Amino acid sequence: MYCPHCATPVSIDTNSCQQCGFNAGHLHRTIGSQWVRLQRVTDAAQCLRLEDHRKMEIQLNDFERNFPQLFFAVYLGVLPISLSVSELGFWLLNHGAFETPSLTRRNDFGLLVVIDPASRHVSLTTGYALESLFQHDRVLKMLRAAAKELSQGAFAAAIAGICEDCSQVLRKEGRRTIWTPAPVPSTEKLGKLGLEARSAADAERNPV
Amino acid sequence: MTPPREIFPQLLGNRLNAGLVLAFVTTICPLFAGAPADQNSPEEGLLPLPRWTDSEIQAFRNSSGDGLLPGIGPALTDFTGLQKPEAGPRLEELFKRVPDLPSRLKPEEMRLFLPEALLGQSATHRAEHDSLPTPIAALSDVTPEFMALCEQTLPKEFLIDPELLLPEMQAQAMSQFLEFHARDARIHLRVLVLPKNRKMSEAPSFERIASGSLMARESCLVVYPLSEPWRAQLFLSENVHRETSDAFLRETLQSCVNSAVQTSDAHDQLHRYMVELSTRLFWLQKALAGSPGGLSAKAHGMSQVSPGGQKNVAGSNSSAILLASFGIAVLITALLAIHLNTKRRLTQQTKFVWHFPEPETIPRLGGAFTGGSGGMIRY
Repeated sequence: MYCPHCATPVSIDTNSCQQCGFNAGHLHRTIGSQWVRLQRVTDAAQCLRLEDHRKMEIQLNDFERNFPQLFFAVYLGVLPISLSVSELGFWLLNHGAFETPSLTRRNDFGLLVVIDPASRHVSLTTGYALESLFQHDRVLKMLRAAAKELSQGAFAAAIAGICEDCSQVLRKEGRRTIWTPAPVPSTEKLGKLGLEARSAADAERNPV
Repeated sequence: MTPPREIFPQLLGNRLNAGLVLAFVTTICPLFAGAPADQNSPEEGLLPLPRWTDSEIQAFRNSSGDGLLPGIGPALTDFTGLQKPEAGPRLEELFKRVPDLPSRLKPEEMRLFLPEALLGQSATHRAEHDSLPTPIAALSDVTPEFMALCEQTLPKEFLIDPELLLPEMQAQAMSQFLEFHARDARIHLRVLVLPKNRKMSEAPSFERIASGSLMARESCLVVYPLSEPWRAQLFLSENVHRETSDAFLRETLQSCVNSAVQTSDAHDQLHRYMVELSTRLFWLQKALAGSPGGLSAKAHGMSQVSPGGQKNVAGSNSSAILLASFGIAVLITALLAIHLNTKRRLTQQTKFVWHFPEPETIPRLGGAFTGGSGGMIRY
């Protein structure tokens, strides 16, 4: 993992960056700690055409249909100098309520692309549940693949390419995943099996 | 020569007045004797026929069996009743009593022997109808049953008419004409008569027509749609076709059509067409006799004489069609396979649903859902 502020590698259980001391508190002071509601595609920089927007919605619907736990979101906006795209991605995935067709999707299964067309930066932020699937090198490779289209102003094509790359990675990793059942619970008590007595009286008369 | 004195009493019957007979004989005898007739005779312009008296007519009507019309009785004065259908036995009743009658003797086939006027269809109307060309879209291929009948034709039958389109007299005349041609010509001439609205299939099997006699020696086959000589197809044995110039074949085809369309009657058209073609084949035979190739005893195939002068070999035409059909089939199969593969992939992509495990992760950098995973670049 890398620090969103200084891109220094951070350990798994650290609470702040050992290099720059970055943590979520710093962003709370600059952006705030409230939850924000935003669409899956938020074009604050007005970079996308209406047709591109509709095509992107279709692609995102397919993505969420194939991966019912996940969502893919995009934010395009011109950021202040003090705020980087990776920092905004970190804050949005922790404080954003993305309006997906299914509101049950958790943000730790989210993939968020933040693009700043002014500073020409792009970042991809993943939730905790996906960080084992999207290694840093793989993420950088995907972003570099989209860099050419981004530099030409083809934001929709670039985002579609990143989304498709993410789908391929997920499919590939999904095939490798072997389902392992949870360990067998103890049979000492019925409660270990997830069963409960019908009433307290029954539990007293017939203790399991 | 029988003397006229003995002829006329027989012709006129014994009821004639003897005086009238004598006067008639006296008048007509100079003609037989070669003497010139009297140009100034007062009876000039009057027919020297017997004149019946009223008593003779009454006696004729009262006669019961001796008259010219036996058994009709004296009161019969209206002879139109004889023409009514119920006056005599019906042909249909006769045919019903004989179920296994040959097809040529069925009532509908008997129409071929009746004059056109009795069929209620005037010849002019039929000619106008026949002269109209059949639209190409209305043409249909001959049926397999038709071809089977063509194949069953005997080798000695030069007229191939499975549907009996020609009346018996015309068919007999045409058969005799073709047999006459075959007696003197090396190139046998056969005609296959088609109905007006039919056409041959693209590649007819010449090997089996007329019991295979087309392949036995040099032959010329005319596929002739009745009433439409301009659609007639001319097939020649390949070795003859190869030795003949395109100009001659083109001219032959054109002259046959020109000869046929000089008349509007369908049967006369066929007759004129075949006479012209027979003449041309004799010319061709004479011309080929002096050529280096000459005529061989056995033919190896049939080629169509096309109006454009291009030699169109039936075998190569069918192979080209076969090749084109095969190419189209391969193309369609490839497109279908691509379509199915794409559809399968799309279906697979949309049908597969991927679920991932939910690992327990210790929050980092104070983030509840993400802790600095991912990456950033400048483009």
